[in-house]
Amino acid sequence: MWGPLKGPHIPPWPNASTPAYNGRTVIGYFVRRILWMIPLLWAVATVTFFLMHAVPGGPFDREKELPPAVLANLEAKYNVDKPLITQYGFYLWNLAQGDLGVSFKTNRPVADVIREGLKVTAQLGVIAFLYAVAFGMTLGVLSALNQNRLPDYFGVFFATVGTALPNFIMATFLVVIFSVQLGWFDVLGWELGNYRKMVLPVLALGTLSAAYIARITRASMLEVLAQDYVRTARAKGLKEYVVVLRHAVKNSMIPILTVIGPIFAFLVTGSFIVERIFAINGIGRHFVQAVFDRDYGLIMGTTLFYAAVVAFANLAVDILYAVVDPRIRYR
Amino acid sequence: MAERARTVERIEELGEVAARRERGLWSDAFRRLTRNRFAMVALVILATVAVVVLLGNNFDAVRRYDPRVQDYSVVQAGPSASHFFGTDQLGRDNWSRVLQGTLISLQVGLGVQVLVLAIGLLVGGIAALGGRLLDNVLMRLTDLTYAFPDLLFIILVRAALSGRDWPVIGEPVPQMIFAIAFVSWVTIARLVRGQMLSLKERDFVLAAQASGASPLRVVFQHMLPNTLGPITVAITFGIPIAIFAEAVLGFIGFGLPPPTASLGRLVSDGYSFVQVNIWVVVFPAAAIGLLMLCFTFLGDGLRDALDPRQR
Repeated sequence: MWGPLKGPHIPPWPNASTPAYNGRTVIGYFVRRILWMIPLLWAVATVTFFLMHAVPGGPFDREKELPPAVLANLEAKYNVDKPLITQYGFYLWNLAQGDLGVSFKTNRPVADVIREGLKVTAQLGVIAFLYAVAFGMTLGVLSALNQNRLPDYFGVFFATVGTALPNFIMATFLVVIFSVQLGWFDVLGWELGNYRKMVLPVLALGTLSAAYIARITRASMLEVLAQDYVRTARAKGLKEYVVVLRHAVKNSMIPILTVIGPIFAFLVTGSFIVERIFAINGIGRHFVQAVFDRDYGLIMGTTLFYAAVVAFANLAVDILYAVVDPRIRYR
Repeated sequence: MAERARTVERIEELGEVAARRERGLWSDAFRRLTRNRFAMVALVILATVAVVVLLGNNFDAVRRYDPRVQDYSVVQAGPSASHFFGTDQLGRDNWSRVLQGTLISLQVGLGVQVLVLAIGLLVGGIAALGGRLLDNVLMRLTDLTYAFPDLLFIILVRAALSGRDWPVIGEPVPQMIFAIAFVSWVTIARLVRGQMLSLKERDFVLAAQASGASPLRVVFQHMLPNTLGPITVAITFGIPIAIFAEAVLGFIGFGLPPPTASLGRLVSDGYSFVQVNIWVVVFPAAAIGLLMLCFTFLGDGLRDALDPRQR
């Protein structure tokens, strides 16, 4: 659900169809994974480029038509008058040199727009991520320790409802209850350090992921708690909190780690809905606005940025996975 | 002698009982599903919603008002006997608009799964059975699609399709279905491939091949039916996700064109007036939440029913 459209992340290389990678080292595997990002980002850039040019209308369509001379000059400046394949070549050439181009609407460098938006998006994303991990794991652990008792019922309820309710529905109800009815928080905006503007966006963005983490933690903890070594630890008289924290929680982390990368990516890329609801000026709002404006430069920049975030998050998980679980070998 | 006859009778009786107990995977799964309270409640609610929505979009007696007609004498009304769900800022009846939106949500949710199933079976099946080269090409394609930021691509595909008068895809609802299916076929394709690869090595498939069944018969008669369980579960979980995607598109303004009321658009429109009238937001939002919850519960129930090991 957190994907939100795809299943859990599966590392692309070690699978049955590529036995050619047998006998290679972990380092080689990671180098290959990082190199894999180049064709990946190229593919994303290519598909986005041709898709967005297939969108009817152009960046310089105005309600009042521009004079032909002005239009011709604008199109020449942004290379829109050249054949599509030439524009594509130009774009890739600049991209290869690390130049994301300029926004067709405001003429500002896309990199600047992204950097500005990223500040807000990253604040929101990271805080929501911390909330999701901390709250989700705590709830999952408490649920598992009190299986089939009251805290467990609460945990299971939260996990089920939380994963099934989309974030903008959650946000809507939060705003209706806490802002409109009770007046505890502001309806709009984001400001670091001002709780009236922070609580609702973070809850709206992070709750889905928190519920998902709670669900996985609970299942994983229940499995670990039933293991023999936990019984051994208890039998030799260790204190309960040592058994829970050292033996159970630590070993139940592995399945959680596999979803933490996609969750992080989802919180950063999926925030455009929450940004729109609370009128927060993050990257997501820029992207949505750019599609409306046919702002080719900005569409490319934001999409590539998102694709890179997703790719790095997945890569980080694979690395983390190999470090935490020594049983995993990338032969 | 008589005792012996009785023993034979008894054995026959036992055999009959055993035969009666012997059920297929599907009837067995169905029995387990009926015992799952959450799934059954969800199923009943979904059936009710489907009936009401179908009636409401075909009979004026249920719909009561035209979802497009504006009535400035009852702007921003709360729920009442004449307007069950109240009215919006233009005096349009929310009950009829939510009915229309729910129908669209259901159409998109189910339609996407039909398309996803077709693409997923084709890609996954060919990858698993078509040799190493095809497998590598198709799986790299799947990996690439997986790496796309999905909602962004749905928005782009939707924007690229809008305003075209192509047959079938020219209609707004199929456009939406196509745009969402474009990025969400990956899960099913991977699932089908994995299932097919492991089934290929199973004894009953070897036995079928050994007894001279044609490759097509092996695939369609012996392998495909055995992949249906996990696929059914994945498809059911896919429905709420597609409904979510459609609602998001409507919410940010890339949904169906204006007079049509999709649930996401209703929430978004109502949100501008949330401080005046909360009901314009509450009902469509609750409708989306209810649909998603019910399909998720149904999916949970199906998973438990079809694969009892995975609890």
